[in-house]
Amino acid sequence: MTISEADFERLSQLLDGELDAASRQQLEQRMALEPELASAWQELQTINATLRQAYAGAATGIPQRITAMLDSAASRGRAKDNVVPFFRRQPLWPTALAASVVLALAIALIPDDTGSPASTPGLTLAAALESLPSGDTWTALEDGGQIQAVLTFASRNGGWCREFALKQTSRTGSQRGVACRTDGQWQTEVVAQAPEQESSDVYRPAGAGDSQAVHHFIRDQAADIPLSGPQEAALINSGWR
Amino acid sequence: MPSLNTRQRSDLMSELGGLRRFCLSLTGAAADADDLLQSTVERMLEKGMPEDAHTAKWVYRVCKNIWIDELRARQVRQRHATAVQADDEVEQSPSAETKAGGEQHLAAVNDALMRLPPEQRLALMLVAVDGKSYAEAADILQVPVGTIMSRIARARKHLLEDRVLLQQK
Repeated sequence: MTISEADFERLSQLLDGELDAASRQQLEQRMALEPELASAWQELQTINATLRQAYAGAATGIPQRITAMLDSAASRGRAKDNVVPFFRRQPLWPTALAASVVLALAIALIPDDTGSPASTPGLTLAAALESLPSGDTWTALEDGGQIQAVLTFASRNGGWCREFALKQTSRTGSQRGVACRTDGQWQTEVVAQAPEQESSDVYRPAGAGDSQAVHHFIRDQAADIPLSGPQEAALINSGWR
Repeated sequence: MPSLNTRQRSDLMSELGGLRRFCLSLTGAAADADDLLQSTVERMLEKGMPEDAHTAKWVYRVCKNIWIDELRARQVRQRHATAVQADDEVEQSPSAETKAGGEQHLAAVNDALMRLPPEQRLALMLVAVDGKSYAEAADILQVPVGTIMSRIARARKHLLEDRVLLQQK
């Protein structure tokens, strides 16, 4: 396809009825003269039709258990009284988390963008956040603990934040937290004890303090969905710019 | 505001269809879509919403946010890695759930959508399938309208290059 990016965007807008009248007229006239434009337009229409057709059935067949939740909420008058079914596919949707204490950990993060390592050998938390890709690998910290970068997202105020998991020598289990980068420094925003094990046969009360705080922070502060691996890698390589 | 009033409940009820479609486009598998839908309804019932908020926009946003939480789970990364791997090995990788019931067509389209970056997929589904305007999609996803426009165009470009959606009957 050799049509320009701008033309492609216009075709896409036309398809969505989001092109103003003048531009639309102009584009339609050009389509009559430019076979490539006309052919792209045809293909775009096909794709749109295929998409709609494929998902046409998805709007029906809502499981009864879900409509029942709203029905029973309505019949009781107050949704608050409704006993919502507990989530069965637990590991996928971690709505219920272990009850424990939010750790008031004011971890002093040492900025590392000066390039000079801290006096002790090993990675500082800041250096880890600055350089580690998100994934399943635990990396040793200078204080003997271990860190795992979990994900990276853009925050509402335009900066970058990372969720991380932490294993500290002084504590059992692991902690989860979010740190955000402000003026080249990583600042811990929230840290909480992580659920012990994501097991579906153990009942855990939903909404109990703890890592809900991390959930909520991300929910409230994330401007968008987390970065993909390649996006994150590019960001790390560019020094978070 | 911990509960929904009658109007909000009925608005929510009438959004369920479109919302389920949206969930399916995010998760790619029917069972996961229903779990996401259920989580969304649960959270709406638990947390309620402001009187003056627009129910449809609000609930899509809640749904998107839950999905963000979902993306946190490492398990998804693993699943994704597995799916990508399977894609390389086999031609198609529809889950057993989507394959059953003659939903192969949907599975193929879903596979193509899953290859799109999530932010493009979100924008495309809201507009092209759910029929939302760019302004509404921008409101739900909390990005500028221009961003919606370019994400959708890029999504379509990917789909054209992918060819899967053109090969359907």
